[in-house]
Amino acid sequence: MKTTKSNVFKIVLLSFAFSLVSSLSAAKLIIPVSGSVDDATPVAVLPFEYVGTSSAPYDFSEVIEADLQSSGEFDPMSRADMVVKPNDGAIFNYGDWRLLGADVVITGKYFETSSGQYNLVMDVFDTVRTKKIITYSLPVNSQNLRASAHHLSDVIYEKLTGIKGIFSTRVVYINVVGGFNNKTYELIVSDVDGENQAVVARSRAPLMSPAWSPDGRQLAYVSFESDNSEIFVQDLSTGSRRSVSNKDGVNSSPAFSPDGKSLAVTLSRGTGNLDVYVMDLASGRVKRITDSRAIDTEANWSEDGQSIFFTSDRAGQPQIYKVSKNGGTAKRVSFVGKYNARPRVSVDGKNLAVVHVDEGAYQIAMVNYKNGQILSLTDGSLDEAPSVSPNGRIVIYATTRDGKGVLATVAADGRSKPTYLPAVGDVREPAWSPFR
Amino acid sequence: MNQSTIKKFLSNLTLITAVLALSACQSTVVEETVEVETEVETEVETIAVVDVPVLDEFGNVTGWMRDGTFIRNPDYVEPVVQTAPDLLSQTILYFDFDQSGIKDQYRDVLAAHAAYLASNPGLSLRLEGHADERGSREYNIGLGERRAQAVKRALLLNGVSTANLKTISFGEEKPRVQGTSESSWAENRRVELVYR
Repeated sequence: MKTTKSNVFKIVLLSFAFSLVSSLSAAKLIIPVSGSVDDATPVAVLPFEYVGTSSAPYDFSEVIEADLQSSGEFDPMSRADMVVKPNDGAIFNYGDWRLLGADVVITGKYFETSSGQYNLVMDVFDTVRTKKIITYSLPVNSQNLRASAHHLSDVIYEKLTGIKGIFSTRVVYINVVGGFNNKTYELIVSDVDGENQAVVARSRAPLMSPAWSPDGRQLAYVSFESDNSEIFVQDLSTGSRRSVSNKDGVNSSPAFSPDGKSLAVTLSRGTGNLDVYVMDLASGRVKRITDSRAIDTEANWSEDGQSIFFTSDRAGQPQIYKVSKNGGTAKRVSFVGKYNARPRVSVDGKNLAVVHVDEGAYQIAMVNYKNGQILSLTDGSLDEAPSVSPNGRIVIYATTRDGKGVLATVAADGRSKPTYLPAVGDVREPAWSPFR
Repeated sequence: MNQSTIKKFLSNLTLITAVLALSACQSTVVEETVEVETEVETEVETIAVVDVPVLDEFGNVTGWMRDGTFIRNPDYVEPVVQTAPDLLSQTILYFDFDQSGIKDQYRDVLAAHAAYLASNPGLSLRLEGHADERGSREYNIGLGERRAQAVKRALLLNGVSTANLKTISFGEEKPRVQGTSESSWAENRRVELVYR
């Protein structure tokens, strides 16, 4: 761009800018799953061997290596350092790899069974305990090479940590393109590694608050395109969507119940008083769950689907409360600090990721709703919109750098510093998908 | 239909007929006249003269021009708001951080808008509530709505009909100015009065 001399060329570029952004081919949002952790396990991912006459159709080990590296829990060896070769199915020499400093060695082999169809076998060796810990075979086709590599990363990660991997999950977020007075809002779904980005909705009026259905097939979100807030539910495979709430006043903050049958929403119903309601998605009927003169909003369901956490300023400042899905008396669960808002439930069964104000700075923290303790995770001043990975390990959130929204990740247990993702526009409101 | 309505209806009919007769040579006059319901005495029926209404800035008929002479509308009352155009031009109310209380400085502004709505019952006003960028977006939707409702209540107390008022909250989604300083935040914590 710096070498561009012709204004005409600039204008042409500008006019194509919109379509470039919609394909998002240029700007990649690569999501490191967390910052590095000190005691990362050294691991060697050998290039997978392709048994065939043509050249290897895909570099599985490169993807697996990047996945494991991004977790912060593994430290992959560079290929140049892998002096013990080849990987030809001979007896595995634990001692050599131990000397090279790899605690875990991953090998793989695949061959074509018919056009575009492959059989793949992966072996994982533990050089500390000198035993093979995984033999995993997987049919693969030319349409799912990358997804298969992520799946293998999940298998490795779960075996080595005891925790489900999130390398096959996705993230939805909102990106704003255009000038200050000429904005376009895009709802974007991306694989967690930044591949396969797709704009699933686009609007000149604000889009807000994307939320996943528990099966990962649908998104609920808020749009102002009809000149009032309105909640849509959109099917990701077909792209079709329906309006589920367009009542007088505020229609906002959707959250699917764990069984996918209900949607918690925030409505004002023309009164100006925001309360949390639960909508039966089949009938569209709503039931009021909270009833206070305060702002009650930002519902998020407990893991068992029996309770709803929400933000309320009924005590004067926003704090987190818990109420039965059928309504009734709400119980306050956050007590540290003057501002705790937007709870997002973690699978650990005791923590909520929240926006927490510490000395005037808006940061992300974990609130333990069993004992009220709080754990600060971030150090920004305008951090917001936390979302916990489905395995409970990572929190993704939005923050601001140089006046633009960017995403960042941090370990949910506070063991890593935030990692800022490359800026791709003006990005906000990430929501991590459930497991596939 | 009472007697005077019938009279008016008849006089309008006559006017239209007269205009149609004239339209062969003076087609430009037609558009200006037929749409207007004029208060014309019955004797006008016999006079083939076209009155051109003179409107004030709010669309009220102040009188008519007939043959270059201004005839005053005896029913015309100058709107109250004309005495305070500077107040009416204020269409943004600002708020303190995390607050929805209306500052004293806006009391006269809201009274002027209430009077304007009272004298223009056909207008409706949308109160658009906003918050600054700090904190969570959905809670800020709540703050914007609360601010818009506070302005709505003040206007209702000033005699505005609820039918003429609508509220919407954009939270922090539509900032007025860009920036992360206290001065830009202060400009973004607001309710905008938008006539529609």
